[in-house]
Amino acid sequence: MAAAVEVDGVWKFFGERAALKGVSFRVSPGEVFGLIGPNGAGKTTCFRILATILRPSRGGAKIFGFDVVRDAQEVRSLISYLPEEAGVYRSLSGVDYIRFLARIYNRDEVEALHEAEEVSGLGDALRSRMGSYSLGMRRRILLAGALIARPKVAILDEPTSGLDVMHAVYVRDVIKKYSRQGMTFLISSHNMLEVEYLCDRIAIIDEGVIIAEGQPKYLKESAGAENLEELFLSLKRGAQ
Amino acid sequence: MSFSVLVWKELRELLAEKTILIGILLMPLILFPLLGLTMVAGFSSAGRAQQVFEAAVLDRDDGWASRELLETLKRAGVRLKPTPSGGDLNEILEGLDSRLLIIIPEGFSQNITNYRQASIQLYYRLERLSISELQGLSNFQALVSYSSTIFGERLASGEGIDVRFYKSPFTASEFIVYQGQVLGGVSTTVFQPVLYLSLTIPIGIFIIAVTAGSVSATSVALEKEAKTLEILLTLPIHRLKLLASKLLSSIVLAALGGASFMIGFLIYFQGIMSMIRQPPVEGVQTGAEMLSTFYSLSGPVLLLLGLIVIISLALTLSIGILAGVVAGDVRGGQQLASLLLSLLFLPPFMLQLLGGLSTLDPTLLTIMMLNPVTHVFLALESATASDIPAALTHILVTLAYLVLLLGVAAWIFSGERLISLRVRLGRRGILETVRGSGK
Repeated sequence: MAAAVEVDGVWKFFGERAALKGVSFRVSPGEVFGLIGPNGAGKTTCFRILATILRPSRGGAKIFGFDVVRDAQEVRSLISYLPEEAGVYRSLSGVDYIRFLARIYNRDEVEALHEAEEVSGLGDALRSRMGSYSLGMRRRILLAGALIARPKVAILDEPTSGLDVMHAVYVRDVIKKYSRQGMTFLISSHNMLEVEYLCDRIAIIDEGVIIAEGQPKYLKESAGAENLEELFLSLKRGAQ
Repeated sequence: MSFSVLVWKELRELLAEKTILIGILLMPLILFPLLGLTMVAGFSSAGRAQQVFEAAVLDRDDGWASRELLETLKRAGVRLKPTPSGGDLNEILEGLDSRLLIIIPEGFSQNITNYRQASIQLYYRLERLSISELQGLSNFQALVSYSSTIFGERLASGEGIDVRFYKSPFTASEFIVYQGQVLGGVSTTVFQPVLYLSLTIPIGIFIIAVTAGSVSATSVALEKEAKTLEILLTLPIHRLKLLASKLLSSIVLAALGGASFMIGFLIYFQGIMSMIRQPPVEGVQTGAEMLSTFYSLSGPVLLLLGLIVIISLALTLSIGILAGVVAGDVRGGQQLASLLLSLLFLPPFMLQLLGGLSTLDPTLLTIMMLNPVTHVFLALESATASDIPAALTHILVTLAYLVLLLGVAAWIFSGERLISLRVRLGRRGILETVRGSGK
């Protein structure tokens, strides 16, 4: 069976600087895979390559067997991407935005709106202009947009960033629910509790290199760490 | 399906931008009629200043020649009001209820009688330094000079001499040949409307083009700044469709802007025409006749003008879109668009004012012809002169540049340059290319 995501020796240079140095990992269909690491480690660059926004300088990546460079158009029909710092169209209402996406993804508008209302929990605020939304509301409408697309692979960069505890928990449950329905998730997060709760497997990336990969439980046990933060610090010390 | 949705989204976003509504749609509707009204009002005011001359007179001579001079001034249209002779000049000026004072000194008649040049003093009180005030002063000076001439002729006539013959032993009938037409009875004053149009059309286009380019750059850069671009780029839509939707919505806006421009321009044109329907001198062409000779605004010409405006706006909007694409933020997009458009628009615009392409040497001429905006100006010039084949040629050249520009845009949209390429204005105004993660 083809891997949902297959990253094979990907390098990415910005000028002279290498943001990714031979990154490789595989994600199985229906899996929730977490990419964790400090700021500037290369998580967003990796996600952008998988989302067909950037091209790898060396190596390659595939989504369900489709090459992210050669078959970019097919890849885009299989994925949805929620960037860490994504914004909204200020003049469109939440309803307009969901209708816009429903038409792009050939989905029934009423059904998509109903689903978006459930995922975002925005209620009547969906009818307001998104320019008036708070940071948390924006994040929830964007997440709803990413999920109503019914992608085979949802790439979510910090999905709960800017959300309060209540909504963060709610969003995690939504991700779990969609995952149970067979959707593959690729997630990055600074919140290690969130990663442990959500992810079947994780990869720890530092300075453009994957330094560990596996199930969170086994990774912690193998390093004798109590949590993922300790695991990351011990891996860093080991590397030095 | 997805394309129409994209265009709908683009138009919603663009039309929600107040700067676009004001800059492209409202400004031409306001700018041109305002220019026309100001011009008509200015000229009416100057005209009034010319027609009504009421002057206080202090005749200290009270001789035959001073009375003769005052009679001549009356006939020339000056309403004279005698003023008491007592007090010094400052007291007289303070008590004056008229803005003009004519003082005829003692000995005026004696000098004339002895064939010596006499003199008078004129005082003109300026309320403010406006064009109509200065025009009024100039008109009064011309009237006094004219009265002096008439006065001299009457004196000479009394001696049996036809002084007009000695002053002008011959007259000249003037004709202008323009595009194979011989125009007679041409007054230089009625050239003014032609000059106004030659100036205001390019100025109007320049203002609107730079505004439109800057605004379209803003609309794209805003997408980068608002961080909506990344999601847009991952939607299952071909990149060229994204570009096409941005351009189509910009062109729709350009067409609306073009219509607004034409409506504003026609209001302005009608204003100018109403101002110049009366001939300044009998037998001489009116400004309206002169204007219709130089600018034939027939149906096909108006269509061509509309087409030129739309194409130049599309060109400008495309440049703006590219500036927005390569800029990292709204400010950078606006700076870059304004810089590029100013560089493209100013040389042909200045050339239009200073004498046209024929004044250039071959090297400069080649450089100018490489500028697409030169062809926009040439197309305008040809269209207003009813030279339709030449106008169409320049329109085609402009279209070719537009296609080339679209090719560059497609190249940028097809790769990762949309995210990773940034051009910004350095501290010294130098363009710097920045390669980065686009974060």
